Amino acid sequence: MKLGELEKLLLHYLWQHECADVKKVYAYFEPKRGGSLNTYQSTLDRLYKKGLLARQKEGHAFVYRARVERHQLIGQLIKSVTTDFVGEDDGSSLIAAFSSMSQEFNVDQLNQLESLIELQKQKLNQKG
Amino acid sequence: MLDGTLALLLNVLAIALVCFALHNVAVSAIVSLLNQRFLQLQVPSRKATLWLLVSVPWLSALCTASYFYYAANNNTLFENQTSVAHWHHVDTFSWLSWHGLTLASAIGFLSYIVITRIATFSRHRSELAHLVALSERIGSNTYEIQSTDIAAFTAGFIKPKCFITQGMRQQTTEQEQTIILKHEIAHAKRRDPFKKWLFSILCAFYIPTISKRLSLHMTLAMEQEADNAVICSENSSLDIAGTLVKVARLNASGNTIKNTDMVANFGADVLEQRVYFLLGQLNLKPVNKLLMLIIIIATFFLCLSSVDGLHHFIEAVFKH
Repeated sequence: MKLGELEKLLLHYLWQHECADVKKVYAYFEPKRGGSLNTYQSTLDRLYKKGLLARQKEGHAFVYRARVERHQLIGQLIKSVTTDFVGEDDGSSLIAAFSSMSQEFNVDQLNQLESLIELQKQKLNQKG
Repeated sequence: MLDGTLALLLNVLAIALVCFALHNVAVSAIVSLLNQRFLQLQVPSRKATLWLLVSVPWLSALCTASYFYYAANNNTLFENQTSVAHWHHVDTFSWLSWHGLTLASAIGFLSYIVITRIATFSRHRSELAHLVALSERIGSNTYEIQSTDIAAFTAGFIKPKCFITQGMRQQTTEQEQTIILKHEIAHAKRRDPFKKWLFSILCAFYIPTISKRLSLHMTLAMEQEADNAVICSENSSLDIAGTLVKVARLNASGNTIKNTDMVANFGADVLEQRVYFLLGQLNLKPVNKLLMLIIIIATFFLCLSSVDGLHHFIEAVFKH
C-alpha cells in the first residue's frame, strides 16, 4: 500500500485531531498548501478505502477518524513485515534482521559472550 | 485408462514424483545426520551446500524424468528389464491408480505452496510500502521508523530497504548505529530477503523439522556474511560482536527468557555462532567438493535404479 504525500499529511492530522469532516480538513490545510475541497474529499475517501480511516455520516457529511493509532499501526507493520507465514523469527522470516527479534536469548549466555569479547579486547590491548 | 503421449507424460511426471520423494528422504537423512557438521563449513561453502541440498530433489527429478522420457521415446525402456531404470507400463496411465492419486495430490500441494507464497509475497510488498510511507528517509534506501521498538532489518525483494527504529537509535551509540546500518546494507546488496523467500519455498517441500533446520542454517550463513562485510579499519570484529550482544540484550530486556527447546536452542546458537565467528574462534573448513559430487551422483543413481523397485513394492499393497 503506497501513501501519497497528502495522504500522509491527512493521516497525521487525524492522529492529532481525533476526528474531522472534509470542511475542517480543508480549512486547516488550504492556507498552508492550497488545493480544492474536492482534492481533500477524494484523499480522505482513498484513505478510507485503504482501510486506514473509519467514517460516520453526521448530517450531510462524513466524519473521519483514524482506525488505529500511529504507534499501533507502526508496531503492527513492523511485526507483520518481520514475521512470515510460518512463525515468528524461526529463521524463515522474509527479512534479514541485525539481531533475532525472537527475544529468546538466555541472560547467562549474553553475559558469557560479553565476558568473552571483553577478554579478547584485553588480550588485544596487551599485545598493542 | 489413458494411453499414448499423454499417458507417457503423466507416467514421466509420476516417475519424477517418486524420484523427488526418494531424494527428499535422502536429503532429510543427510540434514538430520550432519546438522552440526554444517556449522564447521566456511560460510560460502555452507551456503552453496544448502542451496544444493534444497534444489537437488528438483534437479534429480528433472534428470530422471528426462531419462525415462528419452528412453520411452527410443523404445529402450522395456528391451532390457535388468537395465538401471525401467518402468513397466509407461504407455498407459489411470487417474484411479496410486500413480494418479499421488500425482493429483502432488499437483494440489504444489499449487497450494505456489499460491500461498505468492499471496505472502503480495501482502509483504503492500505492508512494506505502507511502512516506508510512515518512515523517514535517512539515507539512500535507509529509513528510520518512528517507534520505540528495538529493531533493525532489511526487507523488500526487488529493491531491498534498510530500516532502523528510533528506539534502536536512541539506545545505541553512533559507532554502533554505523555497524548496524552497514550490516543491513550488506544484506540489501546481496538481496538476502529475496533469497530467503526463494529458499523458504524450496524448504517448504520438506517436513517442518528439516525445513526449519535448513532455514536456520541459511539465516546464520547470511548473517555471518553480512557481519563479515562490516569489518573494516573503523569497525573491528570485536566492535561488531559487542554491538550484536548489546542489541540482543536490548531485545531481551523486559521479557521473560523462555526455556530453550530445540529450535530456541538453535536460535540462541545463531547468536553464539555469530559472535564466535567474529572472534575467530571457529575453525571453519571448505566443503570437500569431490565427496559432495560423489554423494550426489551416488544418490542420483540409487534413486534412478530404485524408482521401479519402489513402484513394484508399492504395487504389492496398492492396485494400479
